[in-house]
Amino acid sequence: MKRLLTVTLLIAVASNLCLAQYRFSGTFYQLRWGQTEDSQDLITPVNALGNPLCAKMGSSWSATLEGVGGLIGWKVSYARLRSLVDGTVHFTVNDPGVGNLKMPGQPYPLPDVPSYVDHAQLEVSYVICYWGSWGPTYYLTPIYSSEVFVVLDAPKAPMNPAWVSLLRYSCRWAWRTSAIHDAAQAITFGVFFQRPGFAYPVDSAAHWLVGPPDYPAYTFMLKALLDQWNNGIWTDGNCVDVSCLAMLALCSVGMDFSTRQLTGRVHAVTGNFLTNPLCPTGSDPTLDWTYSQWQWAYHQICVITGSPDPPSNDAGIWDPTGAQKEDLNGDGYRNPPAHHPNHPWTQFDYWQKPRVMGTSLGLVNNPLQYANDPRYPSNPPFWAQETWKCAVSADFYIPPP
Amino acid sequence: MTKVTLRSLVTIFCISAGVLSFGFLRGQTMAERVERLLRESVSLAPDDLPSFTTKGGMTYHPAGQKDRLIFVQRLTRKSTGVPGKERADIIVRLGFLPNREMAYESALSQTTSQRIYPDGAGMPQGSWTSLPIGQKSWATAPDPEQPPAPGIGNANLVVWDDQLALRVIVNYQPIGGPKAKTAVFLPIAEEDLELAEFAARTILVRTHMVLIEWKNLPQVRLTFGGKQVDGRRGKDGQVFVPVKTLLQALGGKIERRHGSVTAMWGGKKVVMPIGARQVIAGKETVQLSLPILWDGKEVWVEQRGVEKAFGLALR
Repeated sequence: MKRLLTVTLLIAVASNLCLAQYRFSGTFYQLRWGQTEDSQDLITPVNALGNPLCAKMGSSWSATLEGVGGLIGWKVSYARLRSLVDGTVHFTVNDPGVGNLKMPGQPYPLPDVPSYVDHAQLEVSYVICYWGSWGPTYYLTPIYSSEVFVVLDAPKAPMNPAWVSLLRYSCRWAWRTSAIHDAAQAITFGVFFQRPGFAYPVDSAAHWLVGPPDYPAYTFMLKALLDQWNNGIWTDGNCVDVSCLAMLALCSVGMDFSTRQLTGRVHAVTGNFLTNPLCPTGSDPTLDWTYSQWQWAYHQICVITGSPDPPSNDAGIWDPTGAQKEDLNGDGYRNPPAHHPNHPWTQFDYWQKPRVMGTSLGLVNNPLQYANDPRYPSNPPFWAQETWKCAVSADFYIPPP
Repeated sequence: MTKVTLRSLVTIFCISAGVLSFGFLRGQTMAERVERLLRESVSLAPDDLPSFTTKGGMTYHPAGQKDRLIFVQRLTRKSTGVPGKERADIIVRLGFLPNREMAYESALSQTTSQRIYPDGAGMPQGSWTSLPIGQKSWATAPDPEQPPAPGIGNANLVVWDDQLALRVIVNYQPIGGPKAKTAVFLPIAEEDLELAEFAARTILVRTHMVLIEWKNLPQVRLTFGGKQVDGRRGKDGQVFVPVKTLLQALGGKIERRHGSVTAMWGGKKVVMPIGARQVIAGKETVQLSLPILWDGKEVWVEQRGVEKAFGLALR
């Protein structure tokens, strides 16, 4: 009985002492949970087993175990990386027995991180050998697991560190993409088609961005929004909300995007322009009746940070707020505009094409949009706002459901 | 012996707890006290709005800024599982800003939409019931009579009043709930708009009552036509009249529907919207220096408002 207790105690000690020392080496990025605004939200260390991991796609990685508590040797006994999106097993490592042990601190190479964006789960168990009361003792650990976010590159501001709560969406939206334009298009579509997700309100009110004087900078209430979706609740969101979330999602997987408000000539009485028929986010773009015209004073979309000032066809646009029935060539489309080299959605043409009365392509139906409007004398001629990035917050904002 | 020891321990514990809590309360700053009162006294109770439940209110300092306080509360009517009877939420968010200019700016920023109205807001001025609330308000709501459609499961009310910026949102879930492929909503029912506006008015006046330390205001005896009522004297000298008690003493009548109180006496009909800074007597309005208050039983209106509206003089 006494011996059983001692063995149990030793196992518990070995397992607990060593758990904190299971690490990975490779290209990992800092994460935070996205649950609070205090320092506890940061996930440290960035490469510890049990913590969510954010790894660069296609990178090499290995497991390591530092020497503590009389550790003599160790190895990975079993490892499996499985996609949480479709169940694909990226790799399985089976290394039974007690041979092939590594020295403490020596890496145990694992098969490479997948070469595309994914949301996966890594399961690992180890064999450890340490000095016990009766000499070298072998111990097979339980299977530990870590959530793994495979991203294109280092997450970009304001998603540095990236939020685990958002990566659970963005890595799924961008799943299986490995090139920036594919991933950006997939995330634009992902935001638009998220169910439950945003539903564009007819009053076009903004809901999730709070600025001065309540907050020092324009701040997106990301935790409050995701709390709703995670509880199966649809939320309202206008172009500001939708494009800010898309920008955050794009940045979270390693693409440097910003938002930009575009405007142009408006009707003198209403102060608004009239759009071509579009299907707002939350509605099914395959159904004709979901398309209608909207009166807006401006529209906010996503652009690549540093892209040329408008009006420019050297800048693409990513607009998850509304689906267009036709693309800029007049061909059937029924998706949210998302620039891609194989399917361009460029800024100048997107605003209105062609620039004649009764135009039918792009965003603005009327009035006619032309450059050098005297009301906007500065260059750029008729577009109003700089590119910008919102801040992001886990404050309450609205109570969780 | 054991009993004595146990009793002694309990006594020591009670004394210690008393000393500690006294020290805690004495150590509370004014701001902390207001924050606690806002959380405890302003929240709507589960039975304040019929068929809506709530877990109470919470407060926080946005981005950790200690001079700004936000109170939030969610009221929920759960889905019945029958299509067309999906979940409905009323979200209340009240900001307490360092000054009235900031509060106005905060309110205005909460009207943001993709449209621009003549006053620079993103919503038209008004309220859901068309009755005044606060110093200025803006509102949007779908036509309650329209058929189900995308984008109509939502209504907004934004109110500015002194250092307070209040936003109330009514949210319906689409028909079919979380799994709906395309979000089609029933329009917000008129009854729900009235309830949500009542929530806005109640929270606004409860906050004012915390800020003016209502419970500590001294009583003042008011007389008219041989009848006496007890009013309250505010710190700035204004006197609040208990309208219900007064009218009952005078043989008048008072009715309340949610946030709208209608008082009738001497052939006059006066509308007193809770939380508004004016009383409406026919086509005339009488401006007030503080909103019309309501403590759950009684409506309190500034003396000069009552006098002008009814054409009487209280002593």
